[in-house]
Amino acid sequence: MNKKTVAIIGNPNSGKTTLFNVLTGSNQKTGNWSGVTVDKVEGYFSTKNYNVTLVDLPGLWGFYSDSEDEILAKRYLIENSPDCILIIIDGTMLERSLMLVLSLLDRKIPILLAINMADELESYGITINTDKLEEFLPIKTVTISALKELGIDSLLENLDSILSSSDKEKNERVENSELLNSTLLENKGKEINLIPPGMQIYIDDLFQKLEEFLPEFDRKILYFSSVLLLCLDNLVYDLLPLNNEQKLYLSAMVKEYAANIIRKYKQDPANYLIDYRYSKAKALANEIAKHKETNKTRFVLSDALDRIVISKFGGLLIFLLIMFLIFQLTFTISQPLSDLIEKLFDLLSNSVENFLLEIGSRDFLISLLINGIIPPIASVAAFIPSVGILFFFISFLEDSGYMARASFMSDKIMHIAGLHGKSFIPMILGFGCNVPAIMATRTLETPKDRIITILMNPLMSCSARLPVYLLFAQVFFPKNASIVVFSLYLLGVILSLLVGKIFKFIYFKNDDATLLIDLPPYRAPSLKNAFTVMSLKVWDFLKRIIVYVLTGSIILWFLSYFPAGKAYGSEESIIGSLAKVFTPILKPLGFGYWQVFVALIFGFIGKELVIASLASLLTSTTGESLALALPLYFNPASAYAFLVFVLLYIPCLATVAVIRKEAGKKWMWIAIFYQTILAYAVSFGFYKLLSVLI
Amino acid sequence: MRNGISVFSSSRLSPSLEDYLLAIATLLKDQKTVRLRDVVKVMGVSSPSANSAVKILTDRGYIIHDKYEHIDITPSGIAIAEDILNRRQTITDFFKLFTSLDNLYIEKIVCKIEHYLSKCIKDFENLNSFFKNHPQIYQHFKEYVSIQNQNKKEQEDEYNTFIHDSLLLDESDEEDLGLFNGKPVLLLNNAKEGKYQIVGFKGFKIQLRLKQMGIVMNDKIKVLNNQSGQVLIAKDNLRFGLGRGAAMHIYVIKVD
Repeated sequence: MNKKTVAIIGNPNSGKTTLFNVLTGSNQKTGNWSGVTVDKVEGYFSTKNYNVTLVDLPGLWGFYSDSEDEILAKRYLIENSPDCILIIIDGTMLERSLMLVLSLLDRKIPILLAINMADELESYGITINTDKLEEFLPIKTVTISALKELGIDSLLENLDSILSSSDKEKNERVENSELLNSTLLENKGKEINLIPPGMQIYIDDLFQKLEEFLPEFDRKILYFSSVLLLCLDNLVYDLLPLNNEQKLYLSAMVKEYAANIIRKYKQDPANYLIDYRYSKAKALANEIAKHKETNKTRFVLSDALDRIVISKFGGLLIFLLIMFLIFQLTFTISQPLSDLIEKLFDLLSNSVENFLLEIGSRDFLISLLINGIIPPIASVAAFIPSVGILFFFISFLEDSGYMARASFMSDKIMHIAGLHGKSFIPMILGFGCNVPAIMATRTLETPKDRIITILMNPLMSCSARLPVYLLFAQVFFPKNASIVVFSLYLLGVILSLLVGKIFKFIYFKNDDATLLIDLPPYRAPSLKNAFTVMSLKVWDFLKRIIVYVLTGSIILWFLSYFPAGKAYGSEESIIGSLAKVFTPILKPLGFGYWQVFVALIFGFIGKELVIASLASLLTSTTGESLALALPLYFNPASAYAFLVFVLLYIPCLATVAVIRKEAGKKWMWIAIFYQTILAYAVSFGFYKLLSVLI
Repeated sequence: MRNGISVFSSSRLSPSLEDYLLAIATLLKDQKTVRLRDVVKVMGVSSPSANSAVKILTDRGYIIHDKYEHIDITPSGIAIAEDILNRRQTITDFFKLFTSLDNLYIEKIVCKIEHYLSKCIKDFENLNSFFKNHPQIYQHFKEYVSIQNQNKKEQEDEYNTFIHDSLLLDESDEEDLGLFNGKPVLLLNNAKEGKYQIVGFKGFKIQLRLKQMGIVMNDKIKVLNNQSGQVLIAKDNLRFGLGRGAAMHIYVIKVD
């Protein structure tokens, strides 16, 4: 079977991801777009005659406002020539969706339009005449419901026929008339022209110049680029293989033309184009869609719900309640599963050790496996349930339409840190694990928002820190354990907001975050989709962090194991001797013991290892359980200071790796540096304060 | 007659023949023997055209093409090749000294234009050597160019500001917003619950964002909720949440 590439594009909330999952199932591959840190997801499926690679482009509204998602999509369309573009739109919002279709017609690639929400159209009293749409626009149209998996067969059939006809046309040279004639169809006197009057000549000029400069280049891409060029889009200059002289020449042309358009039509080219296309999309929507007497109950209900959900106090209450519920559910369900996984790995570790001892392996190899390789894998595996369940609920919330409201609701809280509501979601995720949380910052629009949210995120207490809190709280504050744990979470949140504010002040002074969010109607979420999302995210999470965690832990193993013959991680090991040198630094915080220092170092692999290493280092000398051994080293004041330190100091290896991946080296070092200082200072403050109080 | 041809030919080879000769000379530096197919490979041409070029060059006495297909270069051929190389170097030097073109680009164009500049190659040489021997004057020249570029950049900036300014509506305070069709204009962040009509936008990019999402000029919208500037609006079946920052970019009037 032949291989074909199809790109899927759609507005946010149009059901694009659902359709993507329906078409490809779990047959997906996540990578990175070159140069930026946004997931590039590819999925695979087949139609009757073709094996199709489906490329998921970010959800976007158009091509002209320079959000990062738009830039990615533009970049893809200029650098690649898919065989077909699959556009998915929400049939209940035809006007603005058709605008996206009109913009994509500039690219001159065969288009299959999937009108989603077929099931809802009925309840809205809307009927869409797809034949008529095909008369006006050179596209194929199908009506589907991605959620209920209706119309998928017809979609596949149509896709197949588009792909086979594109096969035949491939070798023919694109004619000028086909490219330059933007009048699509004259239908009973009504014509749909893609380009507003007065603009076509400029686009033609730019196109001809580009052709002259790049005679070998795909002409369809050049045409698409010339429309973007005229709309003052600077991306094109970087993406096309133009030399400096040619760039200067083109930008001079664009400036002159843009100035002409501004003078003549009192608008910049992009706005002029968009206004024109919006009016065309509106006319088109009126032409093809019939509204029966509009069924308003849905809106009334939805708006009534919104009044409560977004109201000042009730809204906040609901928001906190839902977040609390999700958080609770995530951890009550995942806890026994994580325990089970850890037990299984313990068993594995024991039997591997026994087996190796039996066959008489060298001590070195046994230690590497038992101390260096199995524990990090076990600790990462123990995260699977919580990450999976968290993403399950997140997907649920997103599909239901509440997530958009939650972003809107929390906008004001986040404004304290100079961010907007969308940053709230990663922050909440941070309570589960900072790694997926930082991954989730990709939904944010500006790099500034992303970087600040990433820097704030490690201060949200992830679930790996919880066991440390719980143990210490139970040992040192048995009566107020829950308050102590809660206070740490709160401290993290407050400090992270503060840190966000400070970083915004230092690095992004004059930047104002504007929230502009589309609130989709409430919908019943799909269980199947939530499960698909869950499994994909878990897999992605595992793949992304396992290498870093393994590498880091093997290095640490090396430091703890050598010189050979000494006890693992003991005073005489490399790490022990290093710890002894640096221990005095911890003295002012109340826990200046080399064992604690080593435990904190191990905590760099995963914060849950703090407990494990404390257990092995502190109990080996006393022979008692950790709960009994701890009071020999800590008093309540230093215990709390220690917990504060664990909360704030350098995040785990996996988090550092993800920060580096998402924000770059510079910001990774800034994160490490500021967290070390913050941890030390705040922990010191608490120790002194509590020593006086208690 | 034969003499006549050789005089004519020694005056100048065609650009493509020069390329062939250079290619052969370069090949001979690296390897002992050169065959026709080597030339074909290096030049990326068909073998008939390489064959005819080699024939002409042989006729003119620049190369020898023996019956075993080996190609060798004659002393006069070497002289010509060196001459071409020198000329190219001169022009390359000129571009490096006096233009802002990058080296790769220079390399690419020099072989194309050198042929047409050969008549004034001496002038280029003089110019290069004059400036090389008078570094102070060259320094003056550099300063002059950088001032010129500065001016050009200022002009461009001016132009950009012009475009920028014409993209923005006046950023006036709300008090001076005035009337639209006899009704007072206000910014959306100050609108209480009720029905409104959009009469203007402020800001170029945010305007594009709003329009792409379906909020356009003259739209009738309903403000469903306003909490200190953060508004929830409805347009038909669309619902949008706008932060204060975004709402401040939309001008509306109240309608009934």
